[in-house]
Order: sequence, then structure tokens, then C-alpha cells
Amino acid sequence: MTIENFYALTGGDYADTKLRFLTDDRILRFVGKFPSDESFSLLKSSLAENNAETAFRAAHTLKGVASNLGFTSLFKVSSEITEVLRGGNTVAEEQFAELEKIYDLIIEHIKDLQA
Amino acid sequence: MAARNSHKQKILIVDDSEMNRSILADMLGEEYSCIEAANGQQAIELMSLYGDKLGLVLLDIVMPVMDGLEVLKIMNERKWIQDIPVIIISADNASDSIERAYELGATDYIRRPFDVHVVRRRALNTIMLYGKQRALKGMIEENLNKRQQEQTLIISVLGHIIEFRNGESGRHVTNVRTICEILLNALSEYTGKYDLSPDEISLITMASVLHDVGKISIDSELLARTDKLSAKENEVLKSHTLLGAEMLDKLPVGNNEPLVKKAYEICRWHHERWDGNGYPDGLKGEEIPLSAQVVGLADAYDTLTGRRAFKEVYSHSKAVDMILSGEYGSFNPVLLEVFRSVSDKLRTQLRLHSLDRDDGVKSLAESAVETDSVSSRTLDLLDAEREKNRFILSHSNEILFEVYANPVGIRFSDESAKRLGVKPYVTAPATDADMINCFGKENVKTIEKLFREATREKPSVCLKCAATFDGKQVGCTVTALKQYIRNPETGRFICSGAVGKIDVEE
Repeated sequence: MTIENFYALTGGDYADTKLRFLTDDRILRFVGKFPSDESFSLLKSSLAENNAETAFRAAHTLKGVASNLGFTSLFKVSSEITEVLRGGNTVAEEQFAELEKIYDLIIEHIKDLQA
Repeated sequence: MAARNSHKQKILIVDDSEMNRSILADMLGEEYSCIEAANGQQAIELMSLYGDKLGLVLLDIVMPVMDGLEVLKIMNERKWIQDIPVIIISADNASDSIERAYELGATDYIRRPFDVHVVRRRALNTIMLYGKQRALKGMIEENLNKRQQEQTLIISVLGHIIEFRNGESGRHVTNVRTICEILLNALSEYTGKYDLSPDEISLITMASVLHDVGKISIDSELLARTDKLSAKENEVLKSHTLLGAEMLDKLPVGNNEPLVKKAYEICRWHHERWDGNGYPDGLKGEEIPLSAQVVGLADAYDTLTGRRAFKEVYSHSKAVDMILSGEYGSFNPVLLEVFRSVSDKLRTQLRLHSLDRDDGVKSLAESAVETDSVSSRTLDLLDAEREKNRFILSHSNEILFEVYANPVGIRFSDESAKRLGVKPYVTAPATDADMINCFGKENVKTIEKLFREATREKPSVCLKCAATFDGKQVGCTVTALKQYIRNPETGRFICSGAVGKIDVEE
């Protein structure tokens, strides 16, 4: 799979990422690191534990990472969740499920990308 | 936290996401050496470690433990923000926190998502801007320092010329200056009565050097007289105050300069006394300018403790007593109070200045002053012991040595040092190359260990070992006696060093 395909399949913005990162090599290197980023699992566990403060920080970090890597869909949903948590509200189950779906998709395609 | 290279410009990246940190480090590229912190607290720790060696800090706002705004607040409190530029990195571009970060001194702002060109350009611009600022600051400081040094030098030279011409003790001018500085600093610290800025203090201190300039117009034979002067001769001598003032007043240039005006006050009125019994104008109390009051007191103290043709030498405590009791003229009670409170410090400082040429004793004295553990009386005792030991050393054919406790050092006589092939004064003997060469590494280590373990109850150390003597391998016996003296104030014993002897087997 090409990197361009990867972005198309996961709802990302390859063109913009390429402009910012300059080389595919750099993009690949950091996309490859994404599965080891812990902000998603931290968000998940802190939501389960009703730890709103940590959940907010994790969502905020995930949003930042998604934005940097050009994962537009992931960025959108994590931004929404960040704002919900910033306002002190509860994250709806469907909303988190949507985030998890996109996250899993990205992880899956990163495996293909590295294969 | 990986430091890649030490001589490149250092950038501290503070972000709770490892991914974000490594993207930034990667985008900044190889020209910089990046160090990383995952939260504000780690960032503060690294900043205290590296200080202004950090060319730039990239700072995230939302972080666990300590957030970015808190970091900026601390940087403000500790004044680091003036020397270390901060660029904020954040995704929330419109939020209040960005505005707050700018208010707290952040220089610039990089928004997510990161862009290679933006990151590099912003970092470079900020580093260059601060670099120029630092360079300018350094140049200005250097220039000021140099000018100040030159000014001080010229005035000191002048002071010493006056002193030389007047046939006075070699250190009078320097001592008066040191005493003035201590008194004025204490005066501004202890009392709110006098408004003394650091500039004012340095001005008076410098001008004090000229207090006896009028004496150059007085016949040197009169100045050198040791017998009793007639009333008329005494009046001539006293006229040095007015003569000095007149000289300064009639200077073709500069007589309006603050320094010259201060010097005028000092020359004319440093012999005025608080009760009005001084000369030449019989001023009383606060009519006498503070500068002249302080120099008057400093001059009196140094005259009492110094060697003068017309009087005996008084000890520090006798001189302090004489001044406090009013026996040597009356002084401002506030000034006397301050004088009393700093008299110990005064003695130590003057002593330090006079010990300039003896590094060993000086650093011992300094370290004692620093830790405040040894009184000046103890210092005296130590010095007396030193002198005694040194005398014995220089007049003996045996190899005798003396060990200093703080800082550690060994003194051999020049002759012994030559025969052992070591320096006469060995600092850090345990690691000294000559010592190791002479006695062997193991022996040096053993001696040091034995010496360290010796106590007041069992103060002697003895070791038979091999050594190089006059270039030959010989057997020898090293014996040493660890010495203690009692601190008269605390009653505790402190190790003052040791004396020892090396017997060489024929």
C-alpha cells in the first residue's frame, strides 16, 4: 500500500501532511510510531474510570498528535471529545465508539503499510 | 530525554506527547541539540540545570503534573524569561491561554499541526534575536566593567601615591576603603535612616581614597616627625583638611563631578567630630556629611590599629573599645552601633586583604569565613601555629612536613621537596602526580586512609614504605601527628592539620 492510499483509506489529508513534513520518509517514520502513542488507550481507560481530568488531557494530546499526522477524521472526533470534556460534560458512548472505530482502522492500515 | 550533541545550540522541547516531541526534534533537524521534557516540572528541572545555555524552549500548554502557564510563571519569578526565549506550541489557537502565555513573556507561537518550514523559521528567528540581545548585553557589560576597573585603578594609584608621599603605612588607603565599604553597606542594611544607593556607596568608597590628599602640600619632614609637635606645627598638620578641599575645588575640570564633590566633603570634614570638637570647621552632628563621618571613623580605626610614628599599635579589640567609648573622638551613635555590629567582619575582611599573598592561609581563612565555623581568634591561633611550623621546617635538615586540613594541602621545605621530587606546596596530595611518583599510588592511598582514620584520642599515623629519594629507591618511615585545636566559642575540637616527619633508611 502506498502512503497516499493509506491516507485516503483512513480519512486523512495526505497533501497537507506532505506539505508540512516535506518527505514521505518523514511521514512514514512518524505514522509508524503512532501505534505506540498511548493517548488513545489512556483516554479509554480514564473514561472507564470516570477520571475526567486525565481523560481531557489524553483527548487533548490525541487531538494534537492526530492533527500533526494529518489524520483528519481522527482529529475531528477527538476535538469534539476534547471540547465535551473541557466543558465538564460526559462523553456519549456512541461518540467514543466512533472514535475507536476510526482509531482501529488507522492501526489496522498502518500494519498493511508496514507489511 | 536524549542529548544529541553538546556544542550545538540547545533546544528544550516540553510536550507530554512523545510523538509530538520527536516530530519537533526531527523537524528542527541536526543543527540543534534537542533535550526533552514530558511535563512542566521536568522542564523546570532542566532549565535550572542548563540555565541560559538553552537557546530556546518550545513549550506545550496542556500537560500533566505542571502545565505550560505554570512553567512561564516560574520562569518569571526566577527571571529566566529574560534570558531564555519561549515559543508556545498549542492546538488551541484562539484560547485565552495563548494570550496569557504572551503576557507571561512567551516570544512566539507555533500552532499544530506542525510544519517543517514554520518550526525551523520560528526557532531560528527567536534564537538569533535572543543571541543578538545576549551579545549586546555582554558587550555593554564588558565595556562598563572595563571603564569601572580603569577608573578604580587610576584612583587607587593616586591614593597610593598620596600615601607614599605622606610616609604612611602601606595599607592605610586600602584599609580605609575596605572599612568604608563595609560600614556603608551595613548602614544601609541595618538602618532605614540613611538613604544609600549602591551607586552612592561606591562613590563614597572610591572618594575615600583621597581623604588625605591635602597632606601632599605639607612639608614631609613635619609629616615624619615622631616627637611632640608645637601648637603651631599641629595647626599646620591639621590644615591638610582645608588644603585637600581647596585642591579639589580649584581643579580646572571636573570639580562638579559627583566623585570630586564627595572627595571635597571627605577631605575637608573627615576630622570633624559628632560633638563639634573636631576640625577645621567645628561642625556638629548631622552638619557633618555622612561621607565624612564614615571616612572619619574608618580613618580613626585604621590609625589606631596601624603603625604610626606618633603612637603605639593597638589591637583590634582595644581600638574598637577606644572608638566606642569615645576615647578617640566622638562619632554618630548610629554609626557606632553599626561599627560595633560589623567589627568582627571588619577584622576578618582586613585580615583577608592583608593575606593576599599567602594563598594557603587565605583560602583556609576564606573557607572558615564562609562556613562561619571558626572565630577570628581561632584564625589567629591557627596562623600562629602555622608560622611556628614553617619556621621549624625551614631550619631543619630532616624531612618534616606540615598538613593543612582545609583545604587539604601538604607543605615541605623547599630543600625536602627537591629531594623528594615534589612541589613544596602540594594541593590535593592524594591525587598529586609527583606524590604518587615518589611514594607509589598504594602508599599514598594508605597514608591518606590512615590519616583520615586518626582521631583526637589516637592522633598518630605511622607507615613504613618505599619512596624515591634523591632519585633513588629507598625505604622510609612516614610518621605524622594529627593536630586539633579547640574552638574557644563552641568548645568543640577541630582538626587544624598535622605535622609529620619522613625518616629515610640509609
